[in-house]
Amino acid sequence: MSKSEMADEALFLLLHNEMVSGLYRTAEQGDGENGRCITKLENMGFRVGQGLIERFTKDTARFKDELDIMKFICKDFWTTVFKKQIDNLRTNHQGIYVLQDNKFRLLTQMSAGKQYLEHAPKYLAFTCGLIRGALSNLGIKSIVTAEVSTMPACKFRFFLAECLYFMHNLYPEVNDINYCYWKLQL
Amino acid sequence: MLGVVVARLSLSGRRIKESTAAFCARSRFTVPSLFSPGEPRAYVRRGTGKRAGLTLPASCILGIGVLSVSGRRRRGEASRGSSDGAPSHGAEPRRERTAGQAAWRDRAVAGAPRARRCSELFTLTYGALVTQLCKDYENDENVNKQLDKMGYNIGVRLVEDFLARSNVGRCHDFRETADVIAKVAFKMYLGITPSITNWSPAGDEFSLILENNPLVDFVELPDNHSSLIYSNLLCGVLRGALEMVQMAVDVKFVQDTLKGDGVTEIRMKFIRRIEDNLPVGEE
Repeated sequence: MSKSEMADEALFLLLHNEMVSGLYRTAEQGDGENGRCITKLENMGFRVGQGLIERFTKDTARFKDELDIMKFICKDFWTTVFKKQIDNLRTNHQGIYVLQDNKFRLLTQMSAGKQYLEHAPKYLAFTCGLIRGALSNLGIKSIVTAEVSTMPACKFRFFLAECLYFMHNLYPEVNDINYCYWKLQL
Repeated sequence: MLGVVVARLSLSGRRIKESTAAFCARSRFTVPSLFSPGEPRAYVRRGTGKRAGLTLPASCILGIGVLSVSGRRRRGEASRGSSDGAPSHGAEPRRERTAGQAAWRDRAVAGAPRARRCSELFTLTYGALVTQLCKDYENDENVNKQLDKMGYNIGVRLVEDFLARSNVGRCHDFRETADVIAKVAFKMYLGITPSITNWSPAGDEFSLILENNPLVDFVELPDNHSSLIYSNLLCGVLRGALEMVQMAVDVKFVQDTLKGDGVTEIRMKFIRRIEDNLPVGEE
């Protein structure tokens, strides 16, 4: 990987980290709505993901099915954004996908192990939104969550449309994304 | 007359070591160790082509309600070979220029679509950030201040990354600093080479003219945000970065394409050199 690519990455990494800490700083000084920070980050990622995916897929062929879209996300999208591919993709073919990245770029600089594990979710919220936005502009409604057990490896879980219908039956009041996260206990 | 300004860019200087340790502790960031032994002999290809202008499809209006974002044809970037005026000083600045050009050329050759997309990612992320700040703070002035503060924090860290990548030597005066900023730093991170003009008679103020600002690629300012300085992050970054190399500067936007001017102009004024303060107890 050439130095020039790493230069971009450094810039985006710094901006992303500063965004996270800036938002939390604002929240502390303001009325202390800490719970909204993750939502705000996720929404920002959502808008960015929507825009990005339109630029990336301008010239690509139409996607055949959902699995094709997921493979695109794992390979091309992830490579363009994070300079590497997803390491592992698992699915139950019924709308749940788990993407595993063993060296997630936004976390590698933070720790390698269990240190600062409790701070990891704030740094993943933007990426979750990014993927959710990308999928939404490809026509797929989804919920994306992330989990970290050991830094810098992390897993992104996607619950795609048909799975959401199922959950909508279980939890009919599911409209707000935060409520989904809470209900799913993820 | 402005005395000789010595910026301590030496990485063996104590001040820099302290700040690296403090910086690591503060931000849990490890500085990438990229001390490359030799300077690649870059050979600039002229006319490697402008990037094709792209028009965003109308569907890509990120409906935000605060800032309206519309597709705009991106002006092709200036051809990469054209960043050199005749250098008025010696070989070292030329080497610095080619470092920045090499970094940018490699990136453009290795993955032109990807290079463009990385900068789009940054541009879009920055746009989302400004939008969120506009929602959080009612007042444009507060947004500007917040962007400046965030830029300062980024600049403080970015300068370490820059020094590690570019291997530039010590700058002996403010003119050299200006050259390094415009020809190496901007080139490396944003892919543009602003021109340096309007030196004040005392040699302590100059303007950076950016023909196209990559941060405002898809942006229009709505009418109710006329006092918003959209790219204020850049001011903070420059201020923070230079403060880490012992220069206190004042940076502000003079012209802005978003407000209807032809170019974006940033005015930088050298205030003073920051003296090293030894920590208490160490004499």
